[in-house]
Amino acid sequence: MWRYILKRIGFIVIALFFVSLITFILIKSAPGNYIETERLITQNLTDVNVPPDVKEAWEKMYHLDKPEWQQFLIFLGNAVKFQFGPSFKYPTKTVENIIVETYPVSLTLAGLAMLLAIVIGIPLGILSAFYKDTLIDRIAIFLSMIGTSIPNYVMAVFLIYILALTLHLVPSIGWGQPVNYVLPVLSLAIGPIGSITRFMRSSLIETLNQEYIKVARAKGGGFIQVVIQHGVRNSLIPLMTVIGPQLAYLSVGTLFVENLFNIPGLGKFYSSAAVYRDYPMVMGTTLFFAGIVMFVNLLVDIVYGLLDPRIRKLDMNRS
Amino acid sequence: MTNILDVQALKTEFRRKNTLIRAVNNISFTIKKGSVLSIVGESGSGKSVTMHSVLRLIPSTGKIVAEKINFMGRDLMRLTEKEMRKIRGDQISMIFQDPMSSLNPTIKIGRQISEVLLWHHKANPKEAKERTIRMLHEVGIASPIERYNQYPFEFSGGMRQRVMIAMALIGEPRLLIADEPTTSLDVTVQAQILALIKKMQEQNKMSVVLITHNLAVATMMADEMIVMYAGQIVEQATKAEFLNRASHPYTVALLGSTPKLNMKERLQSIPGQPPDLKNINLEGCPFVDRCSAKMERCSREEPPAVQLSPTHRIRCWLYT
Repeated sequence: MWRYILKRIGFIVIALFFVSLITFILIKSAPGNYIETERLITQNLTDVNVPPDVKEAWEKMYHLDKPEWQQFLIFLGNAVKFQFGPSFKYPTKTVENIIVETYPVSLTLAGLAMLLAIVIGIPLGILSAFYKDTLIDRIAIFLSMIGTSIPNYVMAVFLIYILALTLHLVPSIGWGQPVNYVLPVLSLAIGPIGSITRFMRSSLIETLNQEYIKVARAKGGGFIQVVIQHGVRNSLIPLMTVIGPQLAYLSVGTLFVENLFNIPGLGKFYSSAAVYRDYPMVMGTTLFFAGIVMFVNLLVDIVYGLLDPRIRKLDMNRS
Repeated sequence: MTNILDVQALKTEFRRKNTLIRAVNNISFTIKKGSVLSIVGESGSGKSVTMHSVLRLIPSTGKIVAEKINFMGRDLMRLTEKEMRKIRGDQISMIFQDPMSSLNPTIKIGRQISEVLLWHHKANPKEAKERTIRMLHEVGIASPIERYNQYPFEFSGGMRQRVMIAMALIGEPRLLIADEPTTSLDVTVQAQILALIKKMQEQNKMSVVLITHNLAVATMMADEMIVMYAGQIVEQATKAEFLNRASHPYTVALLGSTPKLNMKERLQSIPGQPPDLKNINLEGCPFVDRCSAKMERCSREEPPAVQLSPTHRIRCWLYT
């Protein structure tokens, strides 16, 4: 087990190296730089010409005067210590401080959305599987298809229109009150609801066709005993592999929704960093997100092993 | 002796798209209290579907029609699903064919057995555990206390089938349906399992339906025999009548294709394939294409049931 985990961590480190390298090359080859972009966007000036001495001083401050391979090495050396230096746009804060401050916001959004998706998706999937090929099933499939195919930012606009502008149930904008969570969480949850429902359905249908389900029925089990205790239980383990990475992707993928609702989460900083050519910010956040996704995947695989008695017992016997 | 189960005019049909599959076609039989009935036939002859229909445990695409399925004075056809659940596992229980896939891989063995008692409210959790451990011991599983907490993957095939038997017997059912209980086991284990079923049957005075395609197993265990072909009962008889006076050409051919010790000549087989139930000839005898004694009328007219003795019945034109 430990060998396996160490090996996986090794792969993660290698993968993160390549993620940094590719991001570095991409961002460096994108035209423009921060001080020019900043002039255009923030100061609304039409010429991009920065006084040469200003530009030189600025480049020196961020080591941008050095050859690019040296810049990359400096970045790597600091990244190992989880230091990405001050952001261009927010020079008073380091990138790692911004991450630590804003990621919890994104994670909370994603976590709530995931929770909602689990609470709705699992029962919906169970119903759908149990009433396979009936009207209930068709409706559930239709809803989950809508959920998975409509992007969350489109859903967000739709929800704003219905819940905020037409029904006046919630404010369309603002942050800080619990009620402000409603729209973003709903729009983020739609996709996972769809995928959890579909996964639960297909996984449970497969389980319900197993011989041991028939055995459970022959023992006199009803819906609770057969479908929930014998069926769903076995479908929940593979569902883990869907929920874990989904949560990671979701916490990374909140950027559209954060921008739309003006929520100070990491996604908002992430997307604006790319626009402003805020190199440290882009590098730091990309690496952080990539790391999160990979780490959660590893975690899911470990937990999966712990949940499956076949793997768990074998491992205990070996050690 | 009274009958524990009386099935009259049972039909089970499966509808798949536009085809109707008559898996069980109008069969009637009875089982006497405390006796063993063996149902034999090739794969797909409707043996399992018949007994699954009695428990109403068939897929949702299937439809069961019967004049009556009388079990200990109650017509199972008229029970609600809830009442039926009280019978399953408690009054009638079942041993399944494949012990490898019949146990839930993520639930402990002990739990899976004691569920029968718990679901039927026949014991509290503590008693259920004690009885399960005793039952495990009885079906010949060594160190049952440790085994109680193990998972199916820690058991061999033969041991799993013992678990299945423990599961089927712990509720002390009146009728045990053993659906090919030894098919997936090797021969030495087969004999042990059959002996165990026989012992339990005598001990608990229960009735047993043994579904098998193995004639040796069937005759070893049975008091009475049923031979099924294409969803119909072609011959039913006591064991003695079956062994000495088997009459239907299909039964004769089946017995002829059983290998015997010291056999010099080549083993016989029945020519042709079992019929496709989708386009079975409803006019005549279903066995007509493979029958060595067929007559002209066999493919036109359905053979009648002929009573050769009070306990020996056959569907064949040869004996009219």
